[in-house]
Amino acid sequence: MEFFSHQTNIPFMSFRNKTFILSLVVMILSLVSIFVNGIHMGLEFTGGTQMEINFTQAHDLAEIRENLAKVSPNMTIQSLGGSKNLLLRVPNDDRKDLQQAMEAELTKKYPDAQLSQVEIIGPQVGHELLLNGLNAIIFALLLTMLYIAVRFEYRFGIAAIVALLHDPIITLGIFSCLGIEFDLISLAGVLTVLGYSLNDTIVVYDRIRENFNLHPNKTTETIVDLSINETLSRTIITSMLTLLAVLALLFFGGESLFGFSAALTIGIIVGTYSSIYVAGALAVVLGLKKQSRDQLTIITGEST
Amino acid sequence: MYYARTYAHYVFLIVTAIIGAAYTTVNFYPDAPVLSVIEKTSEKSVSTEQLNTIISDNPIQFKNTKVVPTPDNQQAVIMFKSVDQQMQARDFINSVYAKTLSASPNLQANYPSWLKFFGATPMKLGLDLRGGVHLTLNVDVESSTLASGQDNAQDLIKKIHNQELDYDRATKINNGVSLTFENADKAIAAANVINKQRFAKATAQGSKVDIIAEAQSMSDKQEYIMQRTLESIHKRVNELGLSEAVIQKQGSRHINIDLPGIQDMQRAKAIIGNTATLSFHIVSSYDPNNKNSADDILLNTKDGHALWLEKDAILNGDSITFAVATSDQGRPIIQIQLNGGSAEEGFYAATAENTGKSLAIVYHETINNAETKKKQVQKTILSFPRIKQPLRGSFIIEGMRSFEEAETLALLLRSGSLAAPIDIVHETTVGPSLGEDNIQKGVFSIAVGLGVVVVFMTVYYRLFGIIANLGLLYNLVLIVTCLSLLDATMSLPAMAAIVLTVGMAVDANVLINERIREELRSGTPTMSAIAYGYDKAFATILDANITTFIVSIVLYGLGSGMIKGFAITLIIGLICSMLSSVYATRIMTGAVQHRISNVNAAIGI
Repeated sequence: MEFFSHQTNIPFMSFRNKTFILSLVVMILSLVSIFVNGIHMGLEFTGGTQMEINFTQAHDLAEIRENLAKVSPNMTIQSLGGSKNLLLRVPNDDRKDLQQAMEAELTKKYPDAQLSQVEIIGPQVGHELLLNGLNAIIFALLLTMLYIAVRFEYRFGIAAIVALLHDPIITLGIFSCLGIEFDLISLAGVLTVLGYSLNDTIVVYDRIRENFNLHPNKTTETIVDLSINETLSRTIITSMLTLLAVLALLFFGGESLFGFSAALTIGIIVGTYSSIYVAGALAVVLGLKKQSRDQLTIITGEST
Repeated sequence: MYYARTYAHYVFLIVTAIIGAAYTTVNFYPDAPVLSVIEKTSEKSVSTEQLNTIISDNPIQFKNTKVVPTPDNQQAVIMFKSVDQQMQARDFINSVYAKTLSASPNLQANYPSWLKFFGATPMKLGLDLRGGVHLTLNVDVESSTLASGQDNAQDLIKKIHNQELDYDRATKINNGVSLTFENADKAIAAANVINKQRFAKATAQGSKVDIIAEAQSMSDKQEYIMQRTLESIHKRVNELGLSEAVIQKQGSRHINIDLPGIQDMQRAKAIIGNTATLSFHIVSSYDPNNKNSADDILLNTKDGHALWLEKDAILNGDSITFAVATSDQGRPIIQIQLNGGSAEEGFYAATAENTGKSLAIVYHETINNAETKKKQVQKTILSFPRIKQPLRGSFIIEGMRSFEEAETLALLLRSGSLAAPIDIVHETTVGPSLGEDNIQKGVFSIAVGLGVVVVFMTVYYRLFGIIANLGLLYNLVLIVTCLSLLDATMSLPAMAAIVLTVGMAVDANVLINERIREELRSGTPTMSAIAYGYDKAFATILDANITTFIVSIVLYGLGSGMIKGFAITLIIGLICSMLSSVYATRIMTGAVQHRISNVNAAIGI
């Protein structure tokens, strides 16, 4: 069985301007959405109290809302699928006894209610976690750029990072558009996407480096096209398989892993696109030429 | 890549696979919830026969339960199928048999004995998988009442005293004290004792020793306070009987506490963060308008009377090593025992000197001032009994509002006061049923993810796909083994990392197999095509894994709790995947390659 004949010959370089514009437009739209709609930050970043309530019988959501609003008017209630499973959130509050007050009110009005999960986070901690997360992203980007720059060439490093920045920005943009909650585990998802998307990019770059040596007379564009085509079946098969595994998480992993699975699902799709359409083309635009080949050979010390 | 068909490779693979299989299998036998029951009077555990009688007397509460010995064969326990049932049964025993028996819940290993041969034990489950409470405490270092450097210098002098290096004369010098000893030898010995401590520096000159309180940096003090706070919290958690708790310092001023499976959350929180302690003062005047000495302090009793007390306490809560709450004619009291030594001597001397006066027992607790939003210590006089005779050894105090308050105070006195006030800044509670639910979800996701990949690889790459699948299985087994050996905790994010690793590990085999296909298409013979395929793909696989590795390390370094679990699993997954998807599949391919008659069919071209 083969999905791709080994002769795929898609001229990726010839329509690189179109794919650049597409990427740019999507990135700008993402940034606009992030700034206009904002990102629905999870409890870990905002601080506050969150409770998961399970009922054995179905109750009227509006009635529950009305009853609990008496305890704290700022709270929000959201259904976690069905009316028996609710998520209650209260923004930061000075009251220390909020949890007990809620619990008392709940058990008084609904004896079948049970708190299955309670999470309380102070505002300071949330702020720190967010800052740590941003640091992690910047740190990870710089380190991977350094690695690629040393292992390949600085143009590859820059191109890879631009292609990489593209992935989390669009992922965050989609989070913002769809109003998916962005929590700590989603952040881990975005970081994982960084590493994962880089896999694909590196496979393409490895092939470009190899082909520079194999075909010294071909133009840079031809070489990059050839390399992307040669690795295309691998790129798509791997992405598809990882995507399928992640989709299993998205559908069956439950509420607490939803943000993570969503970040990975979006990230893998966007990352595969950027590895095929953005990373190679960008290196060419940045001035990757045949002359660089000698440099590559020296740096890597390879001679096939 | 160097490769030779030697039996050493086969032996290595088979042995590691068997060990891995044992470490993986043991996780299918999680620790079972048990109840250990003790007799109240003798404090001895109840015999197997007695437990069987309890079970047969109450068939509804103890449906599907059995009596088993503990691993050390020292006692018998009742084993349950679920935590819910265990808790119901505990409440049942503790109410129906309240007069004679007391049941406490526990978890007990429950795997077949042949697995013990490998030393394999089930992985620890995180709070999200077994239920429990996670707390992050912020230690308010600035509000610490801990003595400053100069006060510590005073402590040091006491230390010298205890070492029987008695000085003849002490004079106060700038920022410290100067001690004169009998001879130079004693002075040098004393200086050595002091220089082993923090906060002070001693220099011996002849028979004189100058002790200067060292200027401490803020971070030094902070570290010291954190250390002291950690110790107290450890003691408190142990006092609560939560032996499985994990207590860790996070950053410079946070402490993480994981309390798995704990039920009485409110009490745990009340005790862990409690700064309450006691001090004992002599009452100097009963008239609020008339103090005896300029230094006296005015405090209220619980019913609102104000009394003047001597400023210096004759005994502090810290000197009490044993305290137990009991009741006396229905009133809550605390029995206190002093540990002998200088504190008890001092207390005896002070009460002898003040016989006939009243001794005020002052309760200190830190409260949040609603207006200023600052913490302040509130002191209340619990009681002020008249000293009838000099006190030493053990005595009782009374005046607590409730039995519960007495019990809490006794526990706090036993575990020592906190070095600094603490706040709970992050708290997560996961119910045990949600935990079981999460395990099912995680395992199911791994199964589905693995299933999809296995089916695809078999259909797409045929024989080479089956080999890749075996590699993948080997990989999973290796990951579980490594996590077990590292004593890592399994959590939902860690399971997510395993699912992700399944997708990533197979990437190496896709790269290799695509390369082999390329070689075969260009007419390379079977053996060489396989060898080239593995060789050429290796550099790419290494590069690709290193970048994910870098990101995982960053995640591990900057992450907290759950994220660390995810990162460490991903890192182990990456390392194991190099071994399984490159090395193991190469050995397996090598074992069968000379039997392949139609290589194109075997790789699915």
